[in-house]
Amino acid sequence: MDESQVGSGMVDGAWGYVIVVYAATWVVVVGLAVRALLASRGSGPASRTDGGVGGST
Amino acid sequence: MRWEHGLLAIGFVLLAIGHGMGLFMAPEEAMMREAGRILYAHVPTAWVALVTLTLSFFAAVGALWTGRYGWDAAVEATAETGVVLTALLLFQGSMWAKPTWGYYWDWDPRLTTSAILLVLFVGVLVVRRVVSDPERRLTVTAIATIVAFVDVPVVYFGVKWWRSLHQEWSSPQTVDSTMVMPLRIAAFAMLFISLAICVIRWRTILATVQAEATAPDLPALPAELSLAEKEV
Repeated sequence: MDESQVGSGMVDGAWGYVIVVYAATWVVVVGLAVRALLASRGSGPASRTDGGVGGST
Repeated sequence: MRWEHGLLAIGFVLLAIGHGMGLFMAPEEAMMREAGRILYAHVPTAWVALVTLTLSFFAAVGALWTGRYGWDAAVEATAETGVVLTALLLFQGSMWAKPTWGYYWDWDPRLTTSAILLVLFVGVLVVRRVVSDPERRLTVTAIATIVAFVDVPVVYFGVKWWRSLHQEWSSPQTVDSTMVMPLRIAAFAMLFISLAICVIRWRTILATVQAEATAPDLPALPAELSLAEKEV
């Protein structure tokens, strides 16, 4: 880190890191949601489990 | 459309609002300047990751206590969502560390315990894949989850317990009032999205687990085949 930046606690030009973080956050949450929705469409018996907590072992 | 789909949609709308406010309306942080805007993505992810893994712990206790597959499915749904959020959390943190600390990673207590948390819950999911018998899997997964959860309070309180490079908790009490609203909106957004995904996954996993548990045993080998095998 440049000496002039010591004390300011920050380097200029951090927008790149900010954009990467926000983009990654959206990619991950949208990816999780899409994966969950696609998997739920392929699981037929799911509709029979509405509200239940399943059978006992 | 189920209620969790509505919750998911509300979560995404709130996330767009919270992130939009954090990026374009919230003031620049005094010390970190524009890098401080990572707060509105990183902190809500951290809170919700820990909440999700805490739900996993309660589901594990429920599974052990009742032996019901509903709780077992909840363990997997929350653990897998929590693992992804924890991985995202570590990535966001390293992207924030570089412009503020000068490097991507430090073996600081908060960072290290968070990485351990990720490894522990990945272990839970691996164990779940390895054990095929549904009853045994329920027990083993629940015990592994309870063991892994021990690290959650360590991650949360670590910044208080040890001198840490990582700053202390960010909350409405510890940040400027102008930062509270985008932080709060983004936090509720992540919570709604996470809960909705967990419920959607829970339904899917429960259907699969119940199908496994109720599947009939394979029929016995025909007599001729058994005889032939004995001769070999």
